[in-house]
Amino acid sequence: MNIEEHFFPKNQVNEEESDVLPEEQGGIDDFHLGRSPEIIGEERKAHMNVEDLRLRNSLDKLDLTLGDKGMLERIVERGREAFDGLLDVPAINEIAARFGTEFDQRLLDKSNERIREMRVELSLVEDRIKLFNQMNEAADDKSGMADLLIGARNEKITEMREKSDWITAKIKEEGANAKIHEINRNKYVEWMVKRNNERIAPLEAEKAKHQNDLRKFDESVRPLVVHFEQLKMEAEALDKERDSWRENAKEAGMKKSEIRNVVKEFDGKINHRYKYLDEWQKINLQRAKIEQKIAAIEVNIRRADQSNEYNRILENKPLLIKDDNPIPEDANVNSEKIKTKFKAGDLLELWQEHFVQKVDKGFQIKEAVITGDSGRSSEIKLNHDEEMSIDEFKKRLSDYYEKRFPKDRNGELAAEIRMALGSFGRDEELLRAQLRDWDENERGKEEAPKLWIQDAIISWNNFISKRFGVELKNNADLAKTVILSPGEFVGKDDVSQEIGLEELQTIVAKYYQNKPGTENQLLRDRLLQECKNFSEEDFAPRS
Amino acid sequence: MEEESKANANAGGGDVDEKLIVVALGAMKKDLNEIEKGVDQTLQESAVAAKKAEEERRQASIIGNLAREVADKES
Repeated sequence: MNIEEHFFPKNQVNEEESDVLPEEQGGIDDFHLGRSPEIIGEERKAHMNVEDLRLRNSLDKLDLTLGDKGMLERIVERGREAFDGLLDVPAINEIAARFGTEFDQRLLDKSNERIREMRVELSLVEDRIKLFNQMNEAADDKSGMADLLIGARNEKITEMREKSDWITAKIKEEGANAKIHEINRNKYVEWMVKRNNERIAPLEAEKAKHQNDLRKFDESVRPLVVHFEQLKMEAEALDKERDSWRENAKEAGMKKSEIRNVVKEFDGKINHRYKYLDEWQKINLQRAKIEQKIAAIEVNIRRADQSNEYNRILENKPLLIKDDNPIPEDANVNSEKIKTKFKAGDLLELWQEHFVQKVDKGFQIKEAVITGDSGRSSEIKLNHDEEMSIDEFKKRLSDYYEKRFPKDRNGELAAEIRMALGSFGRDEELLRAQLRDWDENERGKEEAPKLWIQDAIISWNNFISKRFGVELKNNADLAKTVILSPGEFVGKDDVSQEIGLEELQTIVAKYYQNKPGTENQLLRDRLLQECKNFSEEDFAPRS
Repeated sequence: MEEESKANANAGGGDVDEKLIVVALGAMKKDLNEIEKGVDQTLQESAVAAKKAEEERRQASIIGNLAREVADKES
């Protein structure tokens, strides 16, 4: 399928107008018919190279004219999905991937630029708010003109706070846009990385095979090296023997013709040994040459490998404000939605943790985090044992928070929650890992020591007595309030009941909240704090 | 060459097992030629891949300019 068929099926494109050059269509003879190779060569020089022509043809087909509506613009109008379809069209896919990368990179850069500008503006607004607040605080004279000025400044502060909120929201919005551009860009880069790997991997494999072949060759030759060394030693020994024999023969007055015959015999033996050694030398040279060629392959592979360039593109990240992944819930960029079902109770636990991490600490987190009993969260009508996908869970939470924190009244908190929801559970692997950790923690809790309820109460009394120390000794009323009577807790059915540390903390905290004598807020707060301080060490039957 | 070597070995005599040498030299040459043939083929393929990558790098700037212009119009 070519590009026109892909996007505009009615307009059939003539094959001859495709981006394949005449030479490549197998028509080289017809194309150059009647012309000598020299003329063809000249024509080739006069033209741009084949790759340039191919590119020009492809771009012409894309009709990237910016004045009138070109084909690319029509494709863009038809949506991202249609453009992405180009990646499946041979001959155009590489250009499309590169185009898409640069297109989204540009949009990402622009988003980042806007974020930078808005950050500067935000910081100016914040500085002005700070300045006006300082001026108001510094104004001692509260009468007349000063009062008017304070009023005017307060009005301005309100106005600037609204502006600050607006800019913050815009930065987040732009951050989300930047993230979308990054995801889209990465999609094209990943396509190019894949294509790059498909090109490089076979070459790497071939190179490794050659290196392996050479290694095997070396191994097979190693036992023979000793023979060639021996051959060389023999040749050298014969050489010396011949010279020495000749000298001795001359001194002994042997006939020249006889000496010549013997020397000739020596030379024959020496020469044919050197002949083998020459062959051996040639083989070593050939091996060295092959090694050089393998090194050249390595150089070519490095030149062909564009992964570093792609990695550099991927390093260019969007600027963010607070959230690492500010994807709005409705952003339609999450290609693989998580379909796996999880226990609602588990998801709720993870969401509480995620919420605390992601939402600005300035908000009343305690208020915003969903509370619920162990089996059911009535606020969001959530049965903890119910199995649901992460999307279903997020939808339920989103509906709940929208009612609880309407945008018009809790704009910034609503935006924070929305962002946190957007980034929650997007990575299924991470979610599974978190659930695993959480399960392990839960298991750990189950294995935590338990005490008979009576012993548990006694351990608490020991602890709290130590904490209050002399205060209790000197104040009988306080001791009556603080020290618990096991009888109040142990009913007929409870005698054989065992409880853990956390259960004891909950029971004790609830008890103090309602116990007469703890009306004093300071005392109640202290007791509740001590409940938290009560640790495993203190949770012992007797001490 | 092998025949000639054998003849030389027979004529020369000596301590080294020359028949072994002759056979080994022949086998080594054959193995190396085989390896070199494959290496040459890969060298050629890698050179083509390197050239293609360089062309793509060059084209990337042309396509990049166009993409940026279109993106500027879009945003």
